[in-house]
Amino acid sequence: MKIILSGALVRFADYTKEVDVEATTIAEGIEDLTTRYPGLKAVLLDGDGRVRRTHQLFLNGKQVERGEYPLGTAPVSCAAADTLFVLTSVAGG
Amino acid sequence: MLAEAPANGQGIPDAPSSQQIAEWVRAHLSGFLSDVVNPGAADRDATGTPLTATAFTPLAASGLLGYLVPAGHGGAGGDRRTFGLILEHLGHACDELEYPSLVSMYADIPAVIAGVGRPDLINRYVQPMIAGKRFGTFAYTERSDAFDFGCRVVEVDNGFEVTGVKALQTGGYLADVFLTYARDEGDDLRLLLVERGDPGVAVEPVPTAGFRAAGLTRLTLDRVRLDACRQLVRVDGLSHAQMFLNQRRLFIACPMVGRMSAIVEHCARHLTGVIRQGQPVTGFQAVQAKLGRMRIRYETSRAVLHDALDRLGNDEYNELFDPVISAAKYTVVDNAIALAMDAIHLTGWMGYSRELPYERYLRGFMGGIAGQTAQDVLEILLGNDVITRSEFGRSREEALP
Repeated sequence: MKIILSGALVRFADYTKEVDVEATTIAEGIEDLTTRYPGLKAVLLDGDGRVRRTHQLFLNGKQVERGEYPLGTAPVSCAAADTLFVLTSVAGG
Repeated sequence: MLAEAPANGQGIPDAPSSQQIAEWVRAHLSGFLSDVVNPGAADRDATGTPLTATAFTPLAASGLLGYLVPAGHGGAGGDRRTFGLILEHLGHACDELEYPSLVSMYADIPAVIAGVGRPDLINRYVQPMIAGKRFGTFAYTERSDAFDFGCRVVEVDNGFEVTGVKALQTGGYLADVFLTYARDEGDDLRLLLVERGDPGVAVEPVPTAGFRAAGLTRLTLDRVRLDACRQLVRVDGLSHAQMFLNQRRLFIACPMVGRMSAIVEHCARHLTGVIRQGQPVTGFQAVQAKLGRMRIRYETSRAVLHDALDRLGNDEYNELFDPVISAAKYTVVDNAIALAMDAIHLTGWMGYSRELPYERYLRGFMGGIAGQTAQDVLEILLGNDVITRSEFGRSREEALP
């Protein structure tokens, strides 16, 4: 699966926007991603190990519902040709 | 004083029209604003003096400070669309943008705290805030983005210790409670309630060129010890902050649209009495065109604002970062600045004076360049959103078997 990062996240993946990961579920893909780029872990995941709500996930353009988020209740299957977009929009006060 | 102000926002119909809100503001708040608040606006700007509690505490009787708090916690349980319309019409009636902006902050904070639903916090903070006896603000901004925040929290016996500097708070002058975001040892953001009187807390004024009555402050925390009950959000405070900012983004634009309307009206009235070449300048087509352009800027801003407010009211928005809400804020700020510039061009030296204080309004509007997410940051975020979504189609094609 290909993971495409955006916004502030890119910095924590050594400015790599696209990363190919080995995964059969989104959760596995996120785990592989954060293993390759450890600096991403605290940025992408919250203190309970869940993907922060502010990072919106889209699998092949279809938004992944909150209940399906990695390390949540329902892992979402994915295939090698799939693309997971991580849309990050962090605004200021 | 407030004229027959109904408690808890009563008297505001469900799903009101803008006209109904205008009438409600006129009936219940206009006298108070013109008698108590507006007379000091020019002096506050000249001296950099913040608005005081006397301008806000009487609002409790109108229900506005508790308008966004759920009814079960003593508020009116009002919706954000209606509140936005109230702010727009307050912006028309108030001679300074700072006042409705602070009303929005002082009404939003108790709603955030009430959202946690803890009785101890309702009693200690929410109810006194609804009554206009305590005020709260939001301490998020630092001189770095959220992933590099320097404000740190560590767990200690039965509580927390917080150290760091929060660079800017709107309404901090009056606030005795600061909703403070700090990074924990795992680099997650937590939200904590810091009180002005906590040992180690320092609140300093931040002087600015405009928006001077807003009581802008800098919050410094030196090993401030907090009881465990002061933690409002334990995990993912970043997303909590983003949702709060996303919902609030329009509230900086609402009063601006009201003020734009007032400027167009005042400016046209003034120009009717200005004589050049033996006739009122309103007879010149160049003046008519510029007034027309000001009207276009106002009507455009009002249209995008109301569209975005409708999305809030209908729950049809992205709760983390809504492009329409963000584009509306951006558009209103840009148009407001341009409209004030037009007014100054049309009125010459008078627009630079206390008599027609368009230059003061311009400085207030310019606060919107930085406030509620800087205009340049919004451009980047909106462009990033467009680019990412444009790639969705290609990814669907690639995923096809």
